[in-house]
Amino acid sequence: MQRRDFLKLLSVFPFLNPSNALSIESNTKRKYLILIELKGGNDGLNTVIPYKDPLYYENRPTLQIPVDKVLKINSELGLNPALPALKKLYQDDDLSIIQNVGYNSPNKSHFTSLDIWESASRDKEANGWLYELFKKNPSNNLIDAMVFSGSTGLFEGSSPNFLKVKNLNNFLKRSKSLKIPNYLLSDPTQKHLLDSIKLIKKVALRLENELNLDEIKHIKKERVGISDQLMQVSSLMQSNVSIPVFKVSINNFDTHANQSDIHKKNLTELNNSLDKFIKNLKFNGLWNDALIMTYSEFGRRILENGSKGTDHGEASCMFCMGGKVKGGIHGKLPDLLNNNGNVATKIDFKEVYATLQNEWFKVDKRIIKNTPLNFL
Amino acid sequence: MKIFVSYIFIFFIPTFTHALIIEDTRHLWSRTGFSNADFILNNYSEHTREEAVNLIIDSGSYSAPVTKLPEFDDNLYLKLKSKAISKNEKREILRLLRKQDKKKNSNWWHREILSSNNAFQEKMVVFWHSHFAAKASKVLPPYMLEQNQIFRRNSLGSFKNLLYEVMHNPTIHQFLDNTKNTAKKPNENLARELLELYTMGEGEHYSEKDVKNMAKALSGLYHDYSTKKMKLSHKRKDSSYMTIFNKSATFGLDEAIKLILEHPNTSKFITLKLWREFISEDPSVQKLNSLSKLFNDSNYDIKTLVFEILNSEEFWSAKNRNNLVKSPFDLIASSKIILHIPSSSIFSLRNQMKNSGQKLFDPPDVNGWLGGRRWINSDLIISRKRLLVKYIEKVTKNNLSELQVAIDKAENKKYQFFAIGKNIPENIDIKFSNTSLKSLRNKLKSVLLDHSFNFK
Repeated sequence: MQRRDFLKLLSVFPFLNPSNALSIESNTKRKYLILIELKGGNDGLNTVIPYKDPLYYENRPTLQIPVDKVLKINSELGLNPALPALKKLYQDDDLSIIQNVGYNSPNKSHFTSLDIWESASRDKEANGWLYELFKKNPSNNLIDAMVFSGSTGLFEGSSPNFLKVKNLNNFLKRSKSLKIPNYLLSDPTQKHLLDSIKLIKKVALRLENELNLDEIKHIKKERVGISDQLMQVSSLMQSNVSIPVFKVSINNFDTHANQSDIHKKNLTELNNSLDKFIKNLKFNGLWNDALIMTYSEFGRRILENGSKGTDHGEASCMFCMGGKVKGGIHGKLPDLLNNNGNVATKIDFKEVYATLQNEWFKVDKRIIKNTPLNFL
Repeated sequence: MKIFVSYIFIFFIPTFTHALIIEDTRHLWSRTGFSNADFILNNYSEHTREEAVNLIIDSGSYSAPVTKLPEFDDNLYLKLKSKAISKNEKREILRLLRKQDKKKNSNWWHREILSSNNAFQEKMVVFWHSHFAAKASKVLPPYMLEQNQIFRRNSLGSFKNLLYEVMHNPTIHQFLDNTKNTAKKPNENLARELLELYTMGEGEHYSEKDVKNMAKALSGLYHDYSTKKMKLSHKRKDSSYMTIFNKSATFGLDEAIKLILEHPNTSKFITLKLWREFISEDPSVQKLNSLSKLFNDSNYDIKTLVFEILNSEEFWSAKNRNNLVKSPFDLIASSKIILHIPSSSIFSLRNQMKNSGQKLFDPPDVNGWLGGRRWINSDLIISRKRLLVKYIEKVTKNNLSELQVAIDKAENKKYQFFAIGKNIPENIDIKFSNTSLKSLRNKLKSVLLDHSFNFK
């Protein structure tokens, strides 16, 4: 059944999902960017595996993925066996893999490198690049972003316009009793609290009226897993709430020791939650409105260390997924010979940002000057 | 508006003798967690700022925990090293020990926080825990408990001793995979974070080569359960000639610590972190340099540095008041003095602290809790409120009489300052006497849930 037919059916039986049926028109106009942070530095070489390169096996005596396990996507590259849903996406031409992404003279500190990715700048005081982008291009969006887990640096600035929420049910329930201070707060930190409370009240009020909680009613716990975080994103998208960016994060990619098990567990979590999320988006006709992107502060060293792990490295790979994504691979095979034991950067992450800015958000005032890639 | 202006007038005209006024006392109290409520309420005006700082610093000197430390089954831990037991059996023992004993540690610390009268020491222990951040999930619980005692013994002592003891305790070695770092199989994890987060701060004062060589210096160490210390295996140690900070030799753990302590950035970085804890998020560079020099000259005496920080013009300046955000720990420590809640309900406290973003023994990552403005986001604002509400709900009939004695001692207005700095809403009734439990709770809520209680 086509999406259109399904919606027709809904309008005949509006009690099935009335809020959805009413919002078909505007739904097609919205665009959502869903960011997945792989926290700790994801090992690109064991995510997208150059399975024909003998140097890969030489450098990874214990961590190599056996060639018969690799989910091959072409004659040279394959995905980690924990990522079957991504292989399917690739076959559907909905997954773009960007290779060797990083930046010049990379910093190997988690925190500094993440700062650089988030602000698209080496200036430690710089604001998040998405904060700057939305500030320069004002819109009627309810808020710039909703962050479900991980760092919020992309959206931080002097007057931030995002919310961090773990559990929407609890958020709506508990924000009711929150009071807006009725006296003057002059100190910048105090003003920040005041502004945050105002933002909470504003968003809670809108969501109260617009959010369809059916699919996420069951989420009661304080600790919400990645899959349920994405289900909440889907509910917000279905309710046509004007929030252009959502962010979630998966921890434990800092695999200095016993990488195999941990990395497999992380990628399985990524694979399964994406699989469920994407099926849900497709079912609800939102796949063309969604752009999902993974990123990590750095990749890992080519040569594994002695603890069956890998130390901090340089470039890594990124995944971009969505109905509008042009599937394929950007960039060449990682060079495992030169560059001092690290995967050298061939694509600046700002080229990826430029693509989002120019081809997804299509803003008037650009802040990233790099030439975009052509995955959209 | 006129009323508001006059409050500013009263509270912010500095007195030349620097005898404490009520707003000074609240400032000092809320940043150090000094727990002697009688002093705060009755004697503050008899002291100068410097005297009060001295009193507080003395109060924070080492005192042993008042609650009983958890005990562990040593035999089970020793079994982990035994050759007679299979790998699977060991894994099972380890899983069990981690689960049980992690909880024991966490319960103990929360109980200690609620029972201790040495709030300033407790605050410094939390500070060092966040600084030398390690997560309990990767560490044997007895080591982590011992690390906590190291923080206690050295919280206002010598940073040299502190660093030395922390680096000989297995906690951060296990957390950052250094127990696997050997000559043949180097692992850089601890070496990098030691420089970046524990001592010198990230920047150009060390290179990638320094990190690699630091890893060599830290190689060959293993943890020894009977002493709860790291020991050296000469066989596994990298004995090559190495260069760190332009000095070359065959370095080991103790030489590495010495090199780090000789580096001027170490005192700068520690001074910066203490400044952020006590004064403001954006330090003045000039003053920071002079404090850091003083810290270095004092042979890394933390007490000297903290005394200078609390006595500095910047600490007392009007612009640096109520501009820091209380951590969830601060919220509990400062309510504790007001609420007189006994240590019964630690389980609920543990969960509420966790939801508010500060799960003790489990900082978010090796960078600890970033604190400051980061305590304010939509998720945490809501959880912080819940933390206080749950805590107030622990006020029972049994506490009531005790609480009222304390409250009656205080004049109403003096009591207000626990929660409210410069902005006193006219409509809050602070008379606590002769009131029912329910209305008492409501009144406590009106004070503690006032937004200004979030700041210190």
